[in-house]
Amino acid sequence: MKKTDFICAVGKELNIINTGDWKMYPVVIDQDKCIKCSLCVQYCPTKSIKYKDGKYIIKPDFCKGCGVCIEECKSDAIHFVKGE
Amino acid sequence: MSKRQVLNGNHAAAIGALLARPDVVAAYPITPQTPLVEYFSQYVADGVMDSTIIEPESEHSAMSVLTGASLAGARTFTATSSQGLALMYEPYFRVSTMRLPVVMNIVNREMISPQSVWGGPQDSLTVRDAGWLQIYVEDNQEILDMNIQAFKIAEHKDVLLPINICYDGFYLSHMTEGVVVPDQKDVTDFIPPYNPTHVKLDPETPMAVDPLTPGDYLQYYRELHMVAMDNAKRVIQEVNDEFAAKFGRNHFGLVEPYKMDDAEYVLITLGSLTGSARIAVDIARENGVKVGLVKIRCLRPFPNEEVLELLKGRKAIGVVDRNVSFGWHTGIVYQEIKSAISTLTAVPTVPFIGGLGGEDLTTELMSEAIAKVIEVEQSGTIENKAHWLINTKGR
Amino acid sequence: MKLFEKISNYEDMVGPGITACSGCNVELSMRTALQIFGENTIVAVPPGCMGGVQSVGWADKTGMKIPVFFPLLDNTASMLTGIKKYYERLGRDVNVVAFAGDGATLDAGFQALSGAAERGDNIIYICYDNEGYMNTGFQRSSSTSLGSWTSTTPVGEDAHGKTSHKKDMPMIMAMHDIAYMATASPAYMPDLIRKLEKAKTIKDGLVYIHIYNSCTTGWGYPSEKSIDIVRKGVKSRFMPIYEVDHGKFKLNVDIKDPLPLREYLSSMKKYNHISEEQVVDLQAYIDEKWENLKTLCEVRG
Repeated sequence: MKKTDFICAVGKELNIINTGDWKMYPVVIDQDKCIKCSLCVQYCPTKSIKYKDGKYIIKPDFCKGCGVCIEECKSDAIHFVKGE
Repeated sequence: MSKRQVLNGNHAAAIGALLARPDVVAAYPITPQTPLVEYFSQYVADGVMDSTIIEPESEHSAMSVLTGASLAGARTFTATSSQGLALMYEPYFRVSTMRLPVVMNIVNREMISPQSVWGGPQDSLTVRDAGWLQIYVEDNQEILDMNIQAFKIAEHKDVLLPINICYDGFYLSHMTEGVVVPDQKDVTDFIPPYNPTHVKLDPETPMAVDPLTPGDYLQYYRELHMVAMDNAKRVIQEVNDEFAAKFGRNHFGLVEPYKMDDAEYVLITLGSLTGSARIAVDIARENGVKVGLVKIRCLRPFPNEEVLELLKGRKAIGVVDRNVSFGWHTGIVYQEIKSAISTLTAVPTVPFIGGLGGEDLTTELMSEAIAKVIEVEQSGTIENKAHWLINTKGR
Repeated sequence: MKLFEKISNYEDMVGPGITACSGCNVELSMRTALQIFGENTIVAVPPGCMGGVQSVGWADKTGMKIPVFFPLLDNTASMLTGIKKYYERLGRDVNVVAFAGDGATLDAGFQALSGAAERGDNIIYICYDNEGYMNTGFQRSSSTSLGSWTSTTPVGEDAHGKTSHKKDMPMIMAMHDIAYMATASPAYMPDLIRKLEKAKTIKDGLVYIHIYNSCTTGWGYPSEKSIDIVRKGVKSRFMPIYEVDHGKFKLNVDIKDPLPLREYLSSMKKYNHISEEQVVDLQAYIDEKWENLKTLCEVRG
């Protein structure tokens, strides 16, 4: 019974896993406190922090809520948003 | 213009592969294959051969390097023997299941223990279920010709499987014979270029190769592999016939029947020991015994239909194995034959084992085998274990 | 625009969701490396953590936007040699990269890597060293440090973790006289990025980059400490950051006043049981390696 067009184990379409569901609370950068030291950008394991329109923004889709950015932030500008 | 040269088996293999113009070659030296690697290296050093040669640090790496090169789209070639084949078993199984048409000569040699360097197909027969095509040849002309045919068979779009050309260590690898070497242009015309699309590591066409795979996909790929093996039977015969038409030499494809038309008794052989068996058959014929011989050339895929057809209606059959199958008390080819003729339950079959570790399988021993086959048929007593052919001359 | 503002918008070659543990600095290293190498790259990810988190793919889907494959545990470097040699033959300059764990590099795949290094094959081999076979539950590797608990060197009445020291792979690779060898840490990102950019430019031999990673699940620390812990590793001189460029040694992060070793060891569970004797042994190991390194930097700088 045909399963795929391939004759051996290869893959072409991108496999996407919704790791954004892992986090307990969303993570947000307070733009007023952010000093743009870029440490959060450097250290985010899922590359969820982007530089856009002069601001550092966390894209929540694949953020796992690991807390590294919160821990490393020099100006205490990043927090979990609890109680929603 | 083709020319006639005096070549040993290793040299014939090197020239056959050279004519096919492989892109990447990686081989690790091992007795009795070493001269093949040396001939290659010299041809590249002299600019006669334009292949990229890599010197790996073991056979495991040799097969791994070629897996990588083949995945990138290269035509690849290597050779090894016994212990080297055992060492490369891990990537070896993978090359066939990833459908990479690598061509590898196996210069058949005994497996250790005991320490031995001498010839015999124990090494390649033991790995016959790893998914490679396997063809066993009888003389140096066949070695050269099959190395040319090998690339065409393996790279065929209905096959896409790696192939072993197996020839006996020392008996063929180090023995010199007159061999006709075809013209480069004729060979280039004969083998179309290799342009894989089914699996390729190339930034221009990105894909994942061999991701973690669940069982239902694995089963599907295995089934496709089986189908490719079935296709290979047809392709091997086709390429044989095309080669015969173009180069004038017919090696019979899957099996070679010899004096089989009216044969009552049959000897079945594999590899270079066929030579002495042919002579014993001729001697028996001169004495009025209707004996024939079937040489199994293609062991994988196994030509079960051809074998069944050839062995129907015979009085008794003997299989000469230069190898052992531990646990069955017979050789390996014996079991393959028994499987193929399982519907012919009435035919007595006699397993023979001999010529291990470099012992000679002489014409006298082959005649002894023929006599035993006749005896078993006439007495009706069939043993379930091998009759050992032991060389007692000068001992 | 600052360096990381620029890099944050480089295309991420790894699929957006892979099942690496939350906070994993190996995921960070892999995504960063492949951002720097770009789309003209073929990457090998052997069995291990990164393979296990589906960065290669699943069933008939891929985990990356570039060609990626699973080598066997023990032949990553050999397979890459074959690929690179063929592309060189075609006259195409393609980055041929390994992203392999310490198990696949220091243990099973050591021979293949040593062979490729000796031949001078132009591949970029990155080892992510989290001191064990983490994907399968933290079995010991030759990169596991002395005294560490692992499932195959457990702690009990008669045993106290691994009894042999960490194999010094960076120095071993430097002694193969390869074109470029560097150690790096995710806690020192600009330095890691510079080394990755340099790796791309090397054409005359093998490049080996040894990243001192950690493992939140195996080593036993909270995920948010992933950078903090490897920073402590560097500051205690346990993870020396240096490079060897065509035989020239250079210490990139000079630690003049090392963090007390106990502060590093006590920040994770795998050393919970550690004895005074083992700490002394570890300290002697660190001191000897540091002195060797300083000497080489002076004499071969």
